[in-house]
Amino acid sequence: MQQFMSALLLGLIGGAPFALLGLGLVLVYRGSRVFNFAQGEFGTVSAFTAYLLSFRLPIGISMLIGIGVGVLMGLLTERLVVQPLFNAPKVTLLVATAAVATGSIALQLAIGDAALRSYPPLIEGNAFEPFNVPIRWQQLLVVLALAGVAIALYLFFKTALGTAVLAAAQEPVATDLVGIGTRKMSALVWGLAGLVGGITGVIVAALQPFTPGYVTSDFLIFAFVAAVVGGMTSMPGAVLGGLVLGLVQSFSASYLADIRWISDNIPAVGEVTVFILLIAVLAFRPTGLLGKEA
Amino acid sequence: MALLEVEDLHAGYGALPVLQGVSFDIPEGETAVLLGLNGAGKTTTVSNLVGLYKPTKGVVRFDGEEITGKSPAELVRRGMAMVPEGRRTFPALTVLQNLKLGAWVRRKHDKAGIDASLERVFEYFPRLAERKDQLAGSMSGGEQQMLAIGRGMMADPRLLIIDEASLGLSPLLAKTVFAVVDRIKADGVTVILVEQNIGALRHADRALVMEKGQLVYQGHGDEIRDSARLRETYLGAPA
Repeated sequence: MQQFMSALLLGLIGGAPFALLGLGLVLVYRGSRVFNFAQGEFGTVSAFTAYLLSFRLPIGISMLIGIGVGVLMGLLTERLVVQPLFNAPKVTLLVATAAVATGSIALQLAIGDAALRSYPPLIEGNAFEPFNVPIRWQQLLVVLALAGVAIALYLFFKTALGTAVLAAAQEPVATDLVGIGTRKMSALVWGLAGLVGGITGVIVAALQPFTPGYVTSDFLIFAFVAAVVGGMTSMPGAVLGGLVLGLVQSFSASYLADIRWISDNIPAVGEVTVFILLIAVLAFRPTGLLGKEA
Repeated sequence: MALLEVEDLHAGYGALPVLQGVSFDIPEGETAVLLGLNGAGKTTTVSNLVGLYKPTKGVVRFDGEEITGKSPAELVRRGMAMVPEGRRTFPALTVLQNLKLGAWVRRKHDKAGIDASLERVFEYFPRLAERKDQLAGSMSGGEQQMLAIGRGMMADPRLLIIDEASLGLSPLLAKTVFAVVDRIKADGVTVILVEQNIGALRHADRALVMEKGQLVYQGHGDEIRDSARLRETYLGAPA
């Protein structure tokens, strides 16, 4: 029971960052039809900004400014990379966002170095200890941020502006013709993606020490798996996908690693099962768990 | 007075010139049909009128004011709406969402007007009312054409331009669509039909025929209907 509850709680908490980052990916995909490989870096840059400011400012304010820098990076990416490639094939944009990510990581390494850094948590200590599993406030914050972002995005897409964003991604010419302005919607999408990425980055950075590019290297691939498992166009799907991923990781790490042969031969069994899950979903349900569009 | 005046319009794509001095007037309340073969410059003409492209030379006036090169958003606000070639409905949005987006420029100050327009569109096309919660992408080509015209009408335009209303429709559906065009005209809206189908002449007060980026005929259309020679010369359609 203890082992089960522990795996369950840690799985949900461990999956929350994937879900949060996955929401940003789904947002950009729905609003721009682009797989955004820079989404992780919106987070890392925000976290590094918060880290640098935290020497002089309270951590809460540093994090807020960090998130603002994430928004700025989203907007800049839109203006400097997405707009010039507006009529290019989407795969070109995908590669361009990957270039933004690698460029950002290279810049961080040039400014600082590859050392581990950390900043103080927003709230210290444990929130509670259900079934003797200590849950830190900081871990709870990730879950709360996920809930907040998911609800906010859900409500946003219910508004007229949210519908206009979807329209712009589906039929740019008709969107211009009804007077919406496709490019404004594109800036809005990427600004929001920077916001979601920034929130992800500053909150996750408080969980564990981080290095340049850490959101990309530690979370982005899993967030893509979460988004694809969920259906790529579905917000609830990304949340579900992220949480399922966390659970699969924690349960397999907890139970499968108990089996001697596995722990001797497969070092990171949690990650292996995640990708087995991805292959299974793509093979048997290619539109994802909650996806409607192929 | 003419609602739309086009004077010596030149336009093209990059270095490729397409329109070479196109001039015409459309009086308010009339339906005009712009005819011509594929590649004659019909879509280029209307795309430049509604601001999707900027003309390289020439003047366009709407209701007496110069509008050359203004953005589609500005033009739709002034009362010029276009139903684009290929329908271009928003496939993953519902019929109702598609229609409401058509009224985007009115959403803040004219809520009552939007409801009235919606009612009118549902009256034109009862099928759209039945399917208002269906995703546009799941509908037939004919239904999507109705939706595209309905979306255009949601802007409450004074001038509605419909690019290839009947393309790909069965004769029966094309008839339904043209019947609605007649009603739109009866409701006081000026209409420009862009067509390859000379059957559209029956619904028009005047005809404009294009060939190789120029207007080669302007008139009431009777001559085209009556003259096999004209039809063959300009439209490639034998008697």
